[in-house]
Amino acid sequence: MTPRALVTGAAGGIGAAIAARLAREGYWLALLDLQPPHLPATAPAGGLSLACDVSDPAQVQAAFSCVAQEVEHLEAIVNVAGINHQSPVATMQAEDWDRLYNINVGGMFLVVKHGLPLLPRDGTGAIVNMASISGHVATPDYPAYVTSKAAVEGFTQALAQDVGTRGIRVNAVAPGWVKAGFTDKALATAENPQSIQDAAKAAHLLGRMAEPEEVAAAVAWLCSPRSRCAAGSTLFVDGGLMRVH
Amino acid sequence: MNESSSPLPPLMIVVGGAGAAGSAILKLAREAGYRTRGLDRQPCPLADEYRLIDLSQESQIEAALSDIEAVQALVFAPGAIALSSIEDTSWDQWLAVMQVTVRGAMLCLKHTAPKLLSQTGSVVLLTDAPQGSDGSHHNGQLEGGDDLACRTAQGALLGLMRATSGEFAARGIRVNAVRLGPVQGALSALTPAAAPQAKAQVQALALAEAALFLASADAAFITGTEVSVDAGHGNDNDNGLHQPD
Repeated sequence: MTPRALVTGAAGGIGAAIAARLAREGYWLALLDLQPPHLPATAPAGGLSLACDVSDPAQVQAAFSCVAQEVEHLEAIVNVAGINHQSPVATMQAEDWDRLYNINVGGMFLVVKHGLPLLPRDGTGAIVNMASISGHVATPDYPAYVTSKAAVEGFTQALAQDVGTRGIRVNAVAPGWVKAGFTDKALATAENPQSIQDAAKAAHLLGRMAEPEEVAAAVAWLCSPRSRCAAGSTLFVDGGLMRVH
Repeated sequence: MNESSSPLPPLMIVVGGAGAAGSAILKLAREAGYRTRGLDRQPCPLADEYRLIDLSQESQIEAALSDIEAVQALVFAPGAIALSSIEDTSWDQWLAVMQVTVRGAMLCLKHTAPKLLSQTGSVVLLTDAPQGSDGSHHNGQLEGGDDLACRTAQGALLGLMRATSGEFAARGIRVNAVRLGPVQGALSALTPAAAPQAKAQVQALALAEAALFLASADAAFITGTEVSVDAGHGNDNDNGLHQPD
């Protein structure tokens, strides 16, 4: 049987890497992002690429209506969609806080809420949420992001308890610095990109940032039956960053 | 002595001062010599003074703090909010919990921070609330999966604590969190199941004692951490209740 997965934030670096990895493992894919994401060439035919703001209940509901017309079940839901915002609390605008929080945390809530009916109850359903080491090691001037990623772990643990008895496993992946998305942006706009590279080298025991594919590999494992005993856990893909701290 | 030459007692702001934990904190704070101001939707009879506010309204939070020049301690003690499983939780209910508990904490920090005393100022975030008087539960310790939004908020508050402990460290302001430890077994032994109100009182007192400690000079070297309190009774597996020989 062809396994089926839905990935949010699939147009970003990590999301796209996850989609590519799941496609290689034979998953039929439904990919969501603000702009319709690219479907990997290796994905089974008939996949969906949908524009969806995960913080909008109507759009999430509509996206799952489309998915339900194509497939009866989803074996995996991967919540990656997220944004970042730089501002200390002292100057934080409530609108900026709301936007980030409603995407990074509320988006997961909405996607899971609408996706649960599609997950099988025979122990083969999995949900993977994208957390971050930022939920544990606070980055200066990013309190909204730090708060949201810590919330993701609380959500993951509570949800695992909520749906675990129905055979659905819920876990989180917490990457360290990844060569994608926010890091790419920081490198592109930094006056001294080498200083960021040097900081990353010092921050990780392995002396480097993660490749998006390394994060994707962890997600794929948590989606698969190979991790059938993992539930409510957070898998750190951080090159030993937490160990350094 | 000229009254104007007498230094005012230090001021403690207690957000959620009408709740069980907030009331316990206000009581202990007054005994410790603080002036107290409670902020809540309900009157705070144990506070020296109180302001009625809706935590989802930034303008009300700002107004409730506008006449204050200096604050020694801010304690955020949100009340218990009981919700159901993810399928039965609406987007509006989810937003309400996040707005009051997480965004509300951020806004209280934002508007109190400029008034917190450098070097001695302290913030304590309670990530738990005492058990409801009906025995309903409230936090991440409890059985069942009906605390999804609350546990998500609990995780978020930990992230906010970590982020702001870094942001405010330069001014010598400490930020910490308090949660209830895994005490359900111990509390059950301590107070019969038929007396949930007594359990709530024990929990509220445990939270309040920890909050007062963290706000005090005795905790001058403690910041960025979460203190787990258990009313002095260990945990579920070894509940620490030492029976007389």
